[in-house]
Amino acid sequence: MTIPEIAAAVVAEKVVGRVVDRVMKSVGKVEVGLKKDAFNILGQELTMFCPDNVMKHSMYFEARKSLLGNRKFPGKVRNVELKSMTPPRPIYDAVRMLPDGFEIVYKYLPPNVDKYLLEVEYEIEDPNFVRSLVNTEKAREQSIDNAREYWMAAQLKCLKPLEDEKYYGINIKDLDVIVNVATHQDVKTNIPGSFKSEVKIAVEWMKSRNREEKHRLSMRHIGMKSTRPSQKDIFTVLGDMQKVFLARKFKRFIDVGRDFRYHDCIRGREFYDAPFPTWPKNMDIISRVNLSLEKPAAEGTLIYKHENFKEEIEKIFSKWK
Amino acid sequence: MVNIIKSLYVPKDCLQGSEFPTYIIYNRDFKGKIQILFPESVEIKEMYNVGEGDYELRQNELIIEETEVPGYVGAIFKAKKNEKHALSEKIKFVITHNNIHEEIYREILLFRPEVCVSKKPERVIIKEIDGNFSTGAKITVSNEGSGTGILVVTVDGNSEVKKKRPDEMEEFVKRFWEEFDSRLSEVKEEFSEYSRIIEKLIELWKIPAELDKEYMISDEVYMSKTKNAFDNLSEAISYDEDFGYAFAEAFVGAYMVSVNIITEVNSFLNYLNSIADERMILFDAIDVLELEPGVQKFIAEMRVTDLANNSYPPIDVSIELMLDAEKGIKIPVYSIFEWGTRGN
Repeated sequence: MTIPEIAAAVVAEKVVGRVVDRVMKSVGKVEVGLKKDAFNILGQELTMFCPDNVMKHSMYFEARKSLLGNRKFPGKVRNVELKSMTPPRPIYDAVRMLPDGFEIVYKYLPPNVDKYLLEVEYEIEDPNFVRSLVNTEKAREQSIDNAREYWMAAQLKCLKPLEDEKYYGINIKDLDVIVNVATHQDVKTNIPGSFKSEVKIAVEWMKSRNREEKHRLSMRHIGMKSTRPSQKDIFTVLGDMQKVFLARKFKRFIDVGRDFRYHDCIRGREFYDAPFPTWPKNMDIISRVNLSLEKPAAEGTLIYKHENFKEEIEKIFSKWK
Repeated sequence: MVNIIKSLYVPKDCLQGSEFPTYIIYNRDFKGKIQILFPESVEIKEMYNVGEGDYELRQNELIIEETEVPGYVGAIFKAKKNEKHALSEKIKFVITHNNIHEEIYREILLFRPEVCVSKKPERVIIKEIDGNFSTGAKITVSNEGSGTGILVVTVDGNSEVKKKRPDEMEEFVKRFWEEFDSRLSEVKEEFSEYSRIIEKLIELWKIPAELDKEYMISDEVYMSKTKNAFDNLSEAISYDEDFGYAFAEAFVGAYMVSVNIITEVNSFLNYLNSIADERMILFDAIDVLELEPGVQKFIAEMRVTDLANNSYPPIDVSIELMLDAEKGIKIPVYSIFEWGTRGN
């Protein structure tokens, strides 16, 4: 009896190893070049930024003497920043982007500065890198006993390719985990039957091409409206309802805890909304987490404050009644 | 022992049929053996930071002799679909090194939906009064489990009553898909690595319910394929934010140019009607049944799936439908059902 996916884990390790090796090769050239030009390397750090698919190499170094000339560094580079450490300030002129890398022009290094921070972002072209490196899992839904609390977790699949004493390991930043939070039951239970009836009549009225039928439906609609003091129409209410699902409003009903933090939320897409999802039955909550060799796995909780959400829906309909 | 284990994680619950993670983070100096003992109701799917020759998998027991990098072991389990709709299980972790022997238990609740027909009258009577219809005693469907059930009514070819998508929705769907298809072509060009995912979604969404047989695809298979396609889409979006925004833009753009006021308002009704009580969602809430005056046979099954894509034995919902009216009418599928609460 074997674990069938162990083979997949080996493939994942190869993908990760290949990508890390490629970045290390470029990083190594920077290190060798700077050392050759009489700089002392004080420390280095590698950080993978998941949403941007870039690996950032941060290198702290000090100059032993003033230099002229320049040095080119090859690599698939997205962005380079050079900063002086004392005082902390960016040095724009000293870095030039090239089609196949970047160069540092030494004559633009400010005088009286000896400590620098070089940050180089390398593009990770392999789209499978992050998913080969990390596994994420989340609760598809919660049991009634654990109502409204969803779990999520992230863990490194392979650590070996990341282990390098020189860089104190590679940090993984801003890994997304999306949890689908079901809101539909709370919407349904808080919508008055009378509102539903009024919407139904409005739809029938719009569909009908028969004048008598339209008149009959209009009378019924007037009759319904007269039973409630508010003259607010159904379109305003539906508009207000749509706003509840905007990120800036909905985030108030979410608490993300433990190792994870809240990032954003968007209207959910679910397969059972086919063929045309218009009103969300779920909200997709995006939470983020960081991992490292020191912390290779992380857990999180997402609490959906459904009572507050229900209050918000009730508030909308209290203006309509 | 407190000093050895820094963190041990098993989630509190898991939907049967889906996967859940576990991990142990422990002191890097610990070089002993880790055993994980798990019940019959779960199976191990993946293991992290353990080399090929460094573990032994026995019946419901995983023994890890050594890890690749010290201090961490991760594993993914799958909760099997069980006869019981809720069961609480224990996973035991044993850590052994020289004279150290520590056992730690974690409990996990494995749950799923349990949808059943709790009441079924001999006949459902539908009366039409001034263009409105009212329905007498209905078929009561309940969910005794904790998981969400996704329900779809599949009508037999021999049924006298057929299921259809309403005309005005058909028009909207057609217009929407033409527009969405053309916008997605641009997304496909820009994000060619996801073109297969997009094509699969388009292919599935375009299949109208009444053409299922022509496509040789059942509602159940359709749902399962749609769910897989959606899972792939969600995964792609979670790893590539730019693709997510491009996809959402195409969707919203197509929706805005296709929608009219009727579909906008009607979609809200469909939304409400598709949500049954007690964690049940009707997949085909917009579909209607075409009825003629008098008694006719409705031969149909209710297929149930859930958020883990489990399938369940179909539930027979065949029944006589009697329309008390002078001419034929169309009624929404959901109107012959009512949703029971647990235990009813």
